Amino acid sequence: MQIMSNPATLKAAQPALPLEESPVSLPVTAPTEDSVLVKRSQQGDTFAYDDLVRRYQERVYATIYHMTANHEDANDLAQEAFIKAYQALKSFKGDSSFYTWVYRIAVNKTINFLKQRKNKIHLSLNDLDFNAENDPDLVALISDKTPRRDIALSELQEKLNGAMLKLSEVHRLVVTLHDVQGLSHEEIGKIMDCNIGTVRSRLFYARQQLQAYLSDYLK
Amino acid sequence: MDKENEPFEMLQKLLALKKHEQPPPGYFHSFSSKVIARLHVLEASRAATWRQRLGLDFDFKPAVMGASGVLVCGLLLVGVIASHGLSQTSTPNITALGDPSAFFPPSAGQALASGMALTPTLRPEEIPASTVPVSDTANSPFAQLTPRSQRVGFVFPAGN
Repeated sequence: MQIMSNPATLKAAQPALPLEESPVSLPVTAPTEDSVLVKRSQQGDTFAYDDLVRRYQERVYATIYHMTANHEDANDLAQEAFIKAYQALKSFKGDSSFYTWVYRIAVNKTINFLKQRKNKIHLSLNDLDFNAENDPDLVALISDKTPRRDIALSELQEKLNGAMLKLSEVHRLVVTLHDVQGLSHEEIGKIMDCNIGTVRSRLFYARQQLQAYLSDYLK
Repeated sequence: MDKENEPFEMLQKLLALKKHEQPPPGYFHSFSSKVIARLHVLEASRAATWRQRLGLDFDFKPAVMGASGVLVCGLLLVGVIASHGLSQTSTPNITALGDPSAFFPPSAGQALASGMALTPTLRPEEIPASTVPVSDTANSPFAQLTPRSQRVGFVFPAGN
C-alpha cells in the first residue's frame, strides 16, 4: 500500500472521540465515521489512519497491557497491531466494525506473544492514577488492612496482576474485556470468535479462579 | 448487580483497580505519530528492498560502486583508444575504396593505368572473386586455424 500524505485531508479528519469513555459500548455515530476513515486509509491516507489510531489506541493498549502486565510489551504490541491492521486494511471488507477488527488483530497478536513468552513473565506495571486512592470500593477493601493506603494499593495491584497472570490467556482475556474494559458478551464473542455461551462460561471460570487466588484480599 | 455477577461483587471491586493503572503522562499524545512513523519507515524499507532486487543498491555497497566506476572508466578508455587506432589504420582503405585499381591485382592495375581493357591473358586465380577476401590473410593468426571436418556416427539406442 502506498502511503499518501495529503495535508488537505488532515483538516477533514475529525478529532478522536474522548477515550476516557472507553469501557462502555461504542458510540452510535462511530461506525459511519470509521467507515469513511477506513476508506480513506485504504487509499493510503495516513492522516485518516492516524485518526483511527487515536480513536482506539487507549482501548487497544489497555487490553494488551492487562494481558501482559508489562508496559513495554504492551507498547510494542499495540503499535505492531495498528501497523498490521494498516497493512491488512485492503482485505477489510467492513463485515464487522473496524473497532472489532483491530481488536481481534491485537488480541491474536498478544496471545501469540504470550504463548512464545510462556514462563518468562516480567511485570512492568503502570502507576495508579490519583483517582485510585479516592475510589470508595478500593478504599473499603484496604482501609482496615493498613493505614498506609498508597503502599497497600501498590501491593494489591501487584497481587491482582499476579493472579491475572495465573489464568490462561483466554480466561485472562475474557476477564479483561468484560470486568476491566466493560465490553458486552456479544462484543467479546465477536472479538474472540466464539458464541456468547462460551464467553459466559469462560468468564465464570476465570472469576472463580481469581477469587481463589485473591481470597486473602476479598474477605 | 445481576445474579450472574453477585458472587463476584468483591472481586469486581478489586478488578476496578486495574482501570486506574495508567501509562506515563503524555504517552498517548505521541502514540499515533509513532505508529505512522513506523509505517513510513516500513514503506521506505520496502522500496529499498525493491531497489536491491533490481540491483540498484550501489549506495549500500561502496566497493561494488567503486569497482563499477573503474570498470566503466576502463571500458570508456579502451573504446577511445580503439576508435583512435581504427581511424588511423582505416584511412588508407577508405581512400583505396575510391580507387578501382585497389580491387584488382597489380597486372590489372597496370592495364587500367595504361588505359587498356582487361585482356584474356589474365589468369583465373588473379581475378578477384567475391568469396575470396581481399585482404592478405597470410599474417593473420586466424590463418593457422584450418577447419577440419570429421565424420561422426551417431548410434541411437533401439526402442523409444
